[in-house]
Amino acid sequence: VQTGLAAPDHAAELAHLVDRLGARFGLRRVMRLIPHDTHIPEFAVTRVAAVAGAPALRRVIPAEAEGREPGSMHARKAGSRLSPGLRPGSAGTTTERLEQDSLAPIRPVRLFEKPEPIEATAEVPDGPPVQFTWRRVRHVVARAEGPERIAMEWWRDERGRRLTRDYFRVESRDGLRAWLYREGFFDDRTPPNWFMHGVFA
Amino acid sequence: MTIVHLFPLPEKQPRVEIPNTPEPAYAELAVTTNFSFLRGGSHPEELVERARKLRLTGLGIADRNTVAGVVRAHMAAKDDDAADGTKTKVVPGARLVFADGTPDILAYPQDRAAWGRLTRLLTVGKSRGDKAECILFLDDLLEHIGGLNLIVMPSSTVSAGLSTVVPTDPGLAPGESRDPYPAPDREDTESGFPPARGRRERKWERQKRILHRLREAAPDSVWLAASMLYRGDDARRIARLAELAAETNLPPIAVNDVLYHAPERRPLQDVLTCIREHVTIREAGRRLEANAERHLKSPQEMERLFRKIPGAVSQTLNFLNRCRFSLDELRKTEYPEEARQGFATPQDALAALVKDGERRRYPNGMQPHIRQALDKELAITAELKYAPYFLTVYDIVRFAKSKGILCQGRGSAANSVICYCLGITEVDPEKVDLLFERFVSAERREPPDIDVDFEHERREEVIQYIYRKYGREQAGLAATVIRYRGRSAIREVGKVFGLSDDAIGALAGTLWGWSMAGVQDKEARRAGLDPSDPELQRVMALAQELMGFPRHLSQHVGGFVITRSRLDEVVPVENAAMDDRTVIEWDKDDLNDLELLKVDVLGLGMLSCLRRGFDLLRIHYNQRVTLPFILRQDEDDDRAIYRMISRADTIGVFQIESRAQMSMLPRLKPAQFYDLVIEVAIVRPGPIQGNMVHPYLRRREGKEPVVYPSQEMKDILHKTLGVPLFQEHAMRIAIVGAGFQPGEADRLRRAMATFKRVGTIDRFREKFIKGMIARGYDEAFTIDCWKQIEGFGSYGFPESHAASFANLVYASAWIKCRYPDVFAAALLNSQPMGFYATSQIVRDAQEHGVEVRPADVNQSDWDCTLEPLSTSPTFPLSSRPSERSERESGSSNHRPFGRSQTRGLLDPRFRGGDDGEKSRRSLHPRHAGMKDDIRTTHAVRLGLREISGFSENDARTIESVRGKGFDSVRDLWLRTRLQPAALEKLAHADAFRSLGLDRRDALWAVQALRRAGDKDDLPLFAHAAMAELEPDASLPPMLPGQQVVEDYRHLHLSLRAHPMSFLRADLDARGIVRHDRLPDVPNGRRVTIAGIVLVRQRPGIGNAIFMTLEDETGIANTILWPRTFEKFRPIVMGARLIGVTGQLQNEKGVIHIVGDRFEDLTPLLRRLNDASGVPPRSRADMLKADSPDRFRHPRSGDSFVRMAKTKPALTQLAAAEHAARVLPKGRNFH
Repeated sequence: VQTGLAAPDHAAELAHLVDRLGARFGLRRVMRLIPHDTHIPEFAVTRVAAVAGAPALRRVIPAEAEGREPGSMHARKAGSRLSPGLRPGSAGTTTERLEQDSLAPIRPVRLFEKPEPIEATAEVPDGPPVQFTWRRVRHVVARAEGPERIAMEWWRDERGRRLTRDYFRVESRDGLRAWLYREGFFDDRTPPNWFMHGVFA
Repeated sequence: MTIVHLFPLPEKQPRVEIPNTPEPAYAELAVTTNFSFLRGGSHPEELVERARKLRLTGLGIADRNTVAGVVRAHMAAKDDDAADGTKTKVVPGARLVFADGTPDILAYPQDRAAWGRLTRLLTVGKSRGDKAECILFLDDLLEHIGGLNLIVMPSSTVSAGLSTVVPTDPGLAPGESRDPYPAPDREDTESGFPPARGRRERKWERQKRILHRLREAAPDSVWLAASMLYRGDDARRIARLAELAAETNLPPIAVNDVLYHAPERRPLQDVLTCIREHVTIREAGRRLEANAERHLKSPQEMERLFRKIPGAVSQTLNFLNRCRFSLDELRKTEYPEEARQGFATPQDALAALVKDGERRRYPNGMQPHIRQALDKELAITAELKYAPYFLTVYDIVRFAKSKGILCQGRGSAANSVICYCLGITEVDPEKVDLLFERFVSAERREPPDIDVDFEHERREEVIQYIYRKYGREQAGLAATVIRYRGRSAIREVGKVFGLSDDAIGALAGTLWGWSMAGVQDKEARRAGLDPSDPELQRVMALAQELMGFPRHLSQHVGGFVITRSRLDEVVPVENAAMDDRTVIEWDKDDLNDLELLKVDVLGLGMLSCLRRGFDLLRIHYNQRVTLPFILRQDEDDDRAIYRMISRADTIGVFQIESRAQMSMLPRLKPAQFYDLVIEVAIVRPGPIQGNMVHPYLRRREGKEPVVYPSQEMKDILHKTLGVPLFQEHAMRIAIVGAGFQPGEADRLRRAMATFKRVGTIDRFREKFIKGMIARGYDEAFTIDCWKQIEGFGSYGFPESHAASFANLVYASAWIKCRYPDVFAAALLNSQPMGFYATSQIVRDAQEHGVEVRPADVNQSDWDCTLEPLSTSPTFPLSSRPSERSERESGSSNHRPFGRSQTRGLLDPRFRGGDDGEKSRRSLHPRHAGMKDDIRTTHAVRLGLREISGFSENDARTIESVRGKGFDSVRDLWLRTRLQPAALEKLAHADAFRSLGLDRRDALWAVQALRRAGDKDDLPLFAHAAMAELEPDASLPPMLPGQQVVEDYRHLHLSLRAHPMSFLRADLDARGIVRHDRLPDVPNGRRVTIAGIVLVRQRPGIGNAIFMTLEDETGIANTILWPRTFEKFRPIVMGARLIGVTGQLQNEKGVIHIVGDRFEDLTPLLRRLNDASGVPPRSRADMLKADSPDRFRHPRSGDSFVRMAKTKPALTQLAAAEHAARVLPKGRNFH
């Protein structure tokens, strides 16, 4: 509600909102999302209690990561099964003339908290899936882009088990736009597994 | 919502199918080595090795604004003896990183001229930045663009830190308005909104303009790099790139922008990024690479990745072919010819100068074989055109001599008849029989190598002379690559993993100094860390990997490269941290590889010491002594000196004073010059690890027959009884015995020295062992030789250097033997140098019958001086020292000591019977045999320099205004105008004795000055009234123990008594044996000794540790085996007074205690004060663990510096409870 011509005090309003939600659902259940600087998609956002206040965002602009957006803040009620993706907007503007590597890697609007295993067939060694089966429905891929290769954080990986992922954006013939990944390479000892990690709008 | 544009799937292909039609070929042109500090994750050698394995056609080395790593890569490529004959052409270049937002550009010279332009370009950039910074603008490149092949990397992918320097916009033509958003690609990460479309548009346009400008400036020499980033949008990016390439008419070229040779290096590269960005690995986030793709890839893989841009991969071969420049072309770089002095050619000049010198050196004519050698040397020099080099060295040496700077050349070429005649070296070819072809032979084409040592205090004059004469365009210092060592690697990696400072300190602290060996599990456990913890394991593994990585370039101690043409057209030059110095980017190995001649202008403390000794001899003994003079001594000298050396009586003698050397001397028993050469070289890790020392000793002692495995080995090894000891031996064996090419042998040595993990070592090893065995050598000998080569890798010692050093050994031993007073004074005035601290030098002099007199305001200068002995050779310290008049009257007395007087010195009264009375001096019984050798007639007066914290300026003031002497503290104060704090230091050091004031009285008087010395206190009046103002207080005299403690506190030594003497009763009760009794203990008996730790030394790695202890009767040596050391490490490293129990070994008079139990007796030192009746103030304090920094690398006088800082004179008197801290904690050496 605009209360005057002066710039609205967003911070105060937000605090007020948090208070009201907290009074209603319990403060512990009101969370806010803050970006976390990592390559691993599911860790790129972390939840903190909203009353903890917004921690100062570290401004990280590594030259390597130019243009990648760490995400935006959302105040969401706890308990939603799907966590929001990062910055849904940026995917579309590809017709723009962008500098070669300043384009942010694209993240889906809904990122599943747990990637869901799928069946997929794809070109070796790093081609996109030609078709895949998700939640028992078979999808034929019409268009695809990728891979975006993300290696796991080796320093958290004690037994060296976590495999590198190749992410693909795919669009099925039925219009499903999904974010899939293959875990591991074809020449690894065990054949790689495929997962669905999110859907685009 | 926005629309997601997706690319159509590629046409369906039936699985896999890597087209194997014509074998794909690829050259990787964007390679970052670890000479892009904290960016590249692999050594150049590793990259080359890997490229060869992958069968890459070529490899372009392009580090960030530097060419520091190219020589290594170049040489690695030349080592190419891969069995399958695959060759990888390595081309040198640089990655130009600009400060103005221009994208990175890889620049590769087409020819020699273009190389010169590239190095000049980098020199320009370096001249702008501070050290290690290079600030380049696009205009700089455009100025130097001729002949360069350029690859534009469309945007920085090797991340620049956060470059904020944006001076001009290179894309703009002059007059155009500035880009409103000049900052490179910065997007607002907080708002979460996509960046303004317009901004990108402008950047795009700007990039295009840059490309156009480049293309105009260098038509047909600009390429556009395409790389796969695996960010999901590669296909789109590549399409856009193709568009850009078409628009600008530049061919796209495939690169992988390599950061490491193999994907396994990703963790290390991430760690490097963290070190660079000062973050922990957990904070680093997207500063790190997302994946491990930036490694060298095979041509097949590159072909597959770039299948969408036909031609991009094959373009690399095109590019490679246009890089025709090879670093080998720099070999023709010549030395300046200025030195030829009017002769037609440098060779003529050299011949003439040699002729001159010959008349001087060989007044009676040359022996025929020397003449023959000389002729041969001149012929080779002429053939290889080395004359200008010799002349340049000659010129430098001549300059030094004209200024009276003592110098001596060494190195393979230095020990030649030519250099002997030119006066560059004093090594008499006749004496040493070092033949010239060893240094240069036509077919080996090895560059001659001459290092010249100068007095370390005057080397700067020589350096400035060189700069003056040749200018910065022609002369520059070589670089030294500073690498990560065990400790620094652990520290950095530990920080990256967020280990606490304590944990890092504990890990790093357990390393012995600079070791490259890494932290052992055991050490980690001792530091209280669990080595099985996966994180710790990771830290240790990564630290191990990081070790040996270059971290920055520093200036070499004195290696000069001098060229006839511009130096900056050979190699980039930058300003050194030190003013007035310029440094090139290559180190001495690089220069050696490229056969660029360098002269090492080095500083050597011993030369300063010798020069001081010569000066003192001239002044006090009227002897004109020079280096050649000493070296031409007669047999009498020889006998005396070798006798002294054989007794290991060598404290202070150049090179052979270390504990390990001393334990070798009595076994080796040097009796001639060449034995000294061997002695200098034998106690080194090379021979020790190579298992060469004991066989040599056995053969020398006649316990083992001297046999040679073959005639060719006899030729090489006859001088060392068939045992390879010198670096030259190892190389010659590789050549003669194992069939190596000479150049190969040299590279082998270097491969060992600089970089051990590369697979080439194994190849060399295999080849060496196979070669030797094929030629019929037995396996044990072969393996020993190989071990020796390995040992030499880390610390090689060539015969040619040993020979020159042996000269200085002899010269310093001569002074020590003949004039121990001169020697002690010269050595003290040259401190810090050598192994021993002041107190040991003084003690040693005293044991040689030299009277050492205390520092005193009325007698001492800044430096230690010599005073003629008064009639009574000793005087009690408590009485007033000799009068000035005495000192002056005696100064004309140069008459050597008559024999009867020497006997007087040896009066049995003075033999050290009474422990408390060390003030009486005489020849120690140990040195009694030298009584006829010593010619000393002077006493040493300690200089004011020995007083902790006393400044040279103050001392010089005292010297200059002293006149006939000071008659009171006040007189001194008024005339010198010294600060009361400085006077206090003098008082603390007990330097007012000549005024009849002891320490307490003097301090009292100084305090009185403070009170009386107000500004309205008129000097004249005050002077008269002084006596009434401050009546003499009758202070209780300080007790001996206290005095000694105070002496140590302020002088680092005491002329009164040894602190141990006050503890003797206690020690006796513990059954501790005095050091002077040790010779009477039967060999093999267990004994317990105790002493102040003087020196700990651990030569090489994993060998015995030597520890030298001192008590009031002498020095004792203990050996610890590594296992014992591990067990008692904290005590051994921490104790100042230590008790050692172990078996006594007496080998030909060399006594060692092989310690197996150690006890920290440091707390006993507290009693020094107890004895004097002052109760220690806080015992708890005494027992407090020492700070962890005792583990750090020692610096001379360490403990005292700390002492002086942490213990200001709180109360003047009796603040002595920290007696233990006052005593030295021992110096550590390797």
